[in-house]
Amino acid sequence: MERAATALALMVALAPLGRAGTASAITVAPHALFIDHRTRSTVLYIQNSGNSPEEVSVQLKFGYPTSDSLGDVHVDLIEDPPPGEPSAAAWVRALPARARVQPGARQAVRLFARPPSGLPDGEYWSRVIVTSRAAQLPVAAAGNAAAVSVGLTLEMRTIISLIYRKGKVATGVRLNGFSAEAHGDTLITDIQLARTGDAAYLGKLELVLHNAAGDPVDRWEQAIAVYRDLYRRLAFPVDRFEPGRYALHLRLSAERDDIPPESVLPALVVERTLELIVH
Amino acid sequence: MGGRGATRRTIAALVLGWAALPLFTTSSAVADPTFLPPPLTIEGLQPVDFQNVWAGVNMSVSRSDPLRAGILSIKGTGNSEVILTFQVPSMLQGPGGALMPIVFGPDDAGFATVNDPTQANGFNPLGPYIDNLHGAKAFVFLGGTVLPLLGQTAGAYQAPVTMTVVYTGN
Repeated sequence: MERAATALALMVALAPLGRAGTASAITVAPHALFIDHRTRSTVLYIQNSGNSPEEVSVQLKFGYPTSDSLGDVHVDLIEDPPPGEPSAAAWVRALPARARVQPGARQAVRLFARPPSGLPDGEYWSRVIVTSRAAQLPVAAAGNAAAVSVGLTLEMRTIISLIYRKGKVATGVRLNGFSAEAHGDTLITDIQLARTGDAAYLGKLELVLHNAAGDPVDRWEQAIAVYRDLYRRLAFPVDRFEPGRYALHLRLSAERDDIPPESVLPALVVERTLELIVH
Repeated sequence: MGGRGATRRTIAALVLGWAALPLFTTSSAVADPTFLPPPLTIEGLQPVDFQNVWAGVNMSVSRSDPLRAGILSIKGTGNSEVILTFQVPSMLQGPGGALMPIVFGPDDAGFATVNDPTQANGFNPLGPYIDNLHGAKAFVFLGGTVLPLLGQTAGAYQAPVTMTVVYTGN
């Protein structure tokens, strides 16, 4: 059979992770970095918890979360931010910027800030991009004479935030809009937020759904980061929406348990309640 | 957010307390030596495996294939929002500069909170996908289709795939 005669026994694998048995795993900690003007540095840890060496690199680019008309969040990385943007990307350096991390090893990367002289008090932002790729190409075993070995590369990229603070900064959030609808077994909320003060609002959004008797029947929470304005259209699963009258209570606070307490800026709590009628 | 469509059943939302109620939160400017910053981990669990392919015969791997789909895991802090993007090749590189086309369809990637591709929300690996790490973890599945040419040179073909996880802070 001609096709059989010309068939290629190609072993092809496209691996975002390398071959089975050569798993890549990179851990980055912490997931949010803060630098104070007085100390001008912080440390990022990169751990290779896989079983093959990884080449890692650390870059900085300006970017912050923004939202679109659908309420989805984007973090656009801007190579050359326009003047006036609070970018720290140009004057914070990672040392080392590249390293080979052996399996099980942890690499400390120090981020040094060299801000321009006369930098006004305030908050400055960047994103830290950690890229890792297998340092050695794994080789697949040939299955037969026509089969060939396959080398696969993997890159995994983690992007986290970096905030640089100089002087006294303050933050808060203003709730410009809040509405909700029940769609089947899902609660859809529209939330319009605007930051106040001169620092990003890193807080927590809590929603509690109460029935007509005032008893809480469901509760959700998630972190919220408002760098400027933010519109979120968030969906939350509800066990069951019985017809009736509900109250949906929203609470925004600066209570974050995933950020070092000394890096959390105090802010006023914002609360609001909606009545929700399910037919 | 992906995969959360539902039939509209209700409707009516009246604002009761439109005025915000300002209250002070507790705040601390004191370093807590016991605080351990939560890490963010990306792990490759299984490669996309096309196994043997034949010249002139397209070969697809479904993201739902538990044995051949690529599987990655993300571990972070509870319910954190992440944006996923893939940088995928259009060609695999082979011996002597030989190339093999590869394509990705609008449902070739999946996101789930458990390591079960049948429970994943499908998404297009050519665009961004936003979701939350429910339970502080998630699994990402990837398939694709290779298009071996007639007369395709035998040998090893490879290409890098980059998965980017953006931690939005939300």
